[in-house]
Amino acid sequence: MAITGMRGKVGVLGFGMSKFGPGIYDKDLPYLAAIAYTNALENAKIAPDLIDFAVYGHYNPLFRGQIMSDIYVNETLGLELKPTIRIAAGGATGAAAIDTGVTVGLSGRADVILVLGFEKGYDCWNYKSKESVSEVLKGIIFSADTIWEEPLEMTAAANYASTVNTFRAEHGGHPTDEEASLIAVSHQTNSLLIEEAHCYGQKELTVDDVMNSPIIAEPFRRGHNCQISEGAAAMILITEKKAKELKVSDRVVWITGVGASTDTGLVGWRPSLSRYQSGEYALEAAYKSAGIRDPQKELGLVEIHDPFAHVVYMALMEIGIAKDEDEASALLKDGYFFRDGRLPINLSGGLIGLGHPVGATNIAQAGWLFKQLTGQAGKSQVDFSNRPKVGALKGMGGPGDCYCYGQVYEF
Amino acid sequence: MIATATAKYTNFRLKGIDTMQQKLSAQAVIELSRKHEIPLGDLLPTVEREMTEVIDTREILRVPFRIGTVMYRSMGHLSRFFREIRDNGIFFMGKCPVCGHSAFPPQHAVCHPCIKKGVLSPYEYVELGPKVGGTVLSWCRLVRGGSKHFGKGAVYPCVVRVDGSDIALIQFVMPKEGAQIRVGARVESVLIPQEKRTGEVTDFAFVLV
Repeated sequence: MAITGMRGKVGVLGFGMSKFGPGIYDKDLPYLAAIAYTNALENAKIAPDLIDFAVYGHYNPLFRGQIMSDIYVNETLGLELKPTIRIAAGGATGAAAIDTGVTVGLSGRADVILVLGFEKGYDCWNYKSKESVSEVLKGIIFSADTIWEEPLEMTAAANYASTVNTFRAEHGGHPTDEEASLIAVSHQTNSLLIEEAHCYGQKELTVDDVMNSPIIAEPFRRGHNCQISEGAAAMILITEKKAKELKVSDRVVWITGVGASTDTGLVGWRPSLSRYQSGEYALEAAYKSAGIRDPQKELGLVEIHDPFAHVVYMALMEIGIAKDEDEASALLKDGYFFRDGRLPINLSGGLIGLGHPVGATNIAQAGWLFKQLTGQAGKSQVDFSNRPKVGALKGMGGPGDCYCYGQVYEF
Repeated sequence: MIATATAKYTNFRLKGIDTMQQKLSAQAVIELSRKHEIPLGDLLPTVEREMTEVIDTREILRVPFRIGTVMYRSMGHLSRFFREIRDNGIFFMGKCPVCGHSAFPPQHAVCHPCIKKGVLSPYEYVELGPKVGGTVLSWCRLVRGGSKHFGKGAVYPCVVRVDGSDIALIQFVMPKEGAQIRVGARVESVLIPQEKRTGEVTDFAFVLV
């Protein structure tokens, strides 16, 4: 495993997002992107002509029947003739776009980089069943290997469930239905404080609500599941040199650690089916570049890719927050990861509460790390007087959940 | 085939015959059905809905789109693996002539441990026979789903390691009365009837032993 050290620094100067929600029918994709973009510019307090590179995160062209939507987004933003690139890495698309943005900055090629993720799943529509979800799933399934796994309808839920079931067989049945439900409730509750969240305005869920919801792919219940959302999220990255020049360094949340790892997409070729090794490698690399040795002590908050609540429990061990299931279960029971706990997880609400417009998701999660660390989180703001101003992001996705990206944010 | 009917109907409108702005008589709908060879049952709800969308401006307008047509993908080096199952009901495994690594199925064209050392060694085919046994390494019960060959309802896509293979594959495991699909469960292969085989991964499955 190669760990690349970072030279120089790149950080987040501003963040903005559109509303995340189901079927935002009165706005097309470039419109949503433009809302996130202008919100980010306003937050960063910079003029658009300072942007010298744009990285776009957009997962699935099948949702809209439009390949390379980024071109039309880019020109809608008035950024034609700037250098741009589009990133797609399944659920981890947003984290991958940030990773690329940081790399562009560190390379010296650009100083102010727009990282913008967007997705619009409800543009696909099934006229017979009069809903979008089945069409979204059909669009996603072509991420699976088209010879070996797409014909077996290996949806994202099936892939995650398979790994979770093996994990549970090897870890004494943990996470239990109740433990996973507790995680789902925590994330949904966190999102109720964020107006842009998919779940904003909804009723606060209880553990009983989740445990009584129907099974969709054993052991996942409907309440453990992420939202299918539309929306866009944008981040303005800036290099250390440029931040000094503009005298904005005191507003920048530095991305001090980055790590990435891609496992096999065909899971049968992996040595272990009960863990996400790419997650372990990505976060290990991110911690190493940030100089973090004890994540549980040195982190103040964490954003974890939570397509299903059980995956968060597994991540506790992958990213070094708990050493085994005994510690993970004990910390969870004690509220360690809740809003008022020592190490809150997914104050943004994550995929379960904030929503999952795929290309935008991890950017929005990182954006809420930025907001929390800089005291801009409004009603969602937590107190940092007794916790380090350091946050970590774990993004994952792709067939067999093969892609993983880890990042450390410091203020 | 409502989507197809909608597409044709929209084309009809694009030809300049603005039927969208007026209520169609029953006779006009029947004539549309005949002219465009669209089953009446498909066309009727389409016409009604399209009319609604035009009249109710608060509702978002959706128009059909179509990407490509039926296309065919080459199975490449896997042609033999799938053809042997489809035509002869025989399973083959990939075996590396250099290091002996075994792969059922030989999803990668070249030996995985060898290419990690920079050595290009295509798997050779070794006959396993008409039936293979294996072990469930990971399981999932997918409630929504079903497949084109095994019907609708709950399905169990599982990771199964076939005996003698160093890697595993995802494949359906069929449930059995009184037995539980779990990690470590023993399974054996089952083929779908020959006349239904298409040369794809869905030509076979596993059943609990």
